[in-house]
Amino acid sequence: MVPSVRGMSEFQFDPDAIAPLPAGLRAQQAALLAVTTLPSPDTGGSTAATAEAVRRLSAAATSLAGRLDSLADDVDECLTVYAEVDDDVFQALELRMAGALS
Amino acid sequence: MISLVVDGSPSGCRDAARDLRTLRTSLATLADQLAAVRAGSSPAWTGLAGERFRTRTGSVIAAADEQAEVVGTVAAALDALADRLDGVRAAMTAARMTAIGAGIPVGSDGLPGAAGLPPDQLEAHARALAAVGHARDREAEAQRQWTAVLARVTWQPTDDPRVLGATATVRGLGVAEGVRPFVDRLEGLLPGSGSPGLPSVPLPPLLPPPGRGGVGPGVVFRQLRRMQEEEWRQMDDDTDLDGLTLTERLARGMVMGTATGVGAFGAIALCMRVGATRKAVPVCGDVGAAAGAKAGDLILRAVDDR
Repeated sequence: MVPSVRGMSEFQFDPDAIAPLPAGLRAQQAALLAVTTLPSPDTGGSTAATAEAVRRLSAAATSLAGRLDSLADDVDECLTVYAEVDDDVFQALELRMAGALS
Repeated sequence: MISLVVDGSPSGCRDAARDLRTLRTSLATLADQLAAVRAGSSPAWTGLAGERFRTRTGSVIAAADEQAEVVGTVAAALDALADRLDGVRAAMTAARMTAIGAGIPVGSDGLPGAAGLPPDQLEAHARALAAVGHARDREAEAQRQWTAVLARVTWQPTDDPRVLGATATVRGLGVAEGVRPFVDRLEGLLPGSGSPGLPSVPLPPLLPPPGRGGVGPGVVFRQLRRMQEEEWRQMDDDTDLDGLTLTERLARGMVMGTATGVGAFGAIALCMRVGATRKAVPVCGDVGAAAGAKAGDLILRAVDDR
């Protein structure tokens, strides 16, 4: 298996280097989610406003974690697409080369 | 009964601040790790898809950095609030001790009123009362500073008349096809988005009541110039953004200029309404313009996030 494809376009993709990325992104997502549950302290007269602010900070961090998960899914899809196309491309390449040499 | 109770839990605030700092550290670490992933992906993944991966990664990094900064600010402010509440409690304890030292019967929650106290306790009672008043002032200041920090987190475009003003200004640009999505997103910040007509902007009138004098032209032109400067500055800043047409840049600049202007003239009108001196009015305008420009930043970010 050739580790990368480079054609006339600027496209180059090294699946061995990219494959670990989704797992890393999901690990970062899990690490972030683990600290997004925040206590809402009694701050006196501003307690309700504090609770709302804490809720928003927590929601923002949770949303960011969701973006990491989504990015990981999309990179996974890229790897899947690459693997599927990769076989077709090299099969076609081999047939063309074999044809040229026949 | 004069209350000596100070609401709020300093220890709870410190615990929450600690957890917020943990979150800030996680966010900062995430940003650093993603920056390394982003940089490391460049040689392994080139072309359009690779660039899109790096664009999305860059967007997450920027959000993580921004959140880390906000969370860190809130954590520091929460610690400061805890310290201030401790200070207020100490002042209340001192007031209580002043009263007890003079033999005044102090309840669990407050000082008795002066009525009925013997003359030799009145002076100590007055001192205790003054100390309570100072402590309440400090408590109010602590809450004011804390809620000012909270406002940064809880800002809602629907509560901010500057969004209405900015929307009304750029709505006229909506006929230009290229800028319509931006105007749609801006209008989407408002309640009942999509419905025709904007609610009126709830600002005090710019013209003062009869007999209260007026604003000199210098005050007005100074703020008009600031509006223009903010608009141009935003357009300059946006030159670094990819994919923006000139009209979209103009719309974004107008949001910034309008928010600045509404802030400036709203503050001027408000100061005049409460009887500020002629020297103070320009300062009100400057402060309002600065606040308006910050609001303009928030508006643009809110639009960008949609």
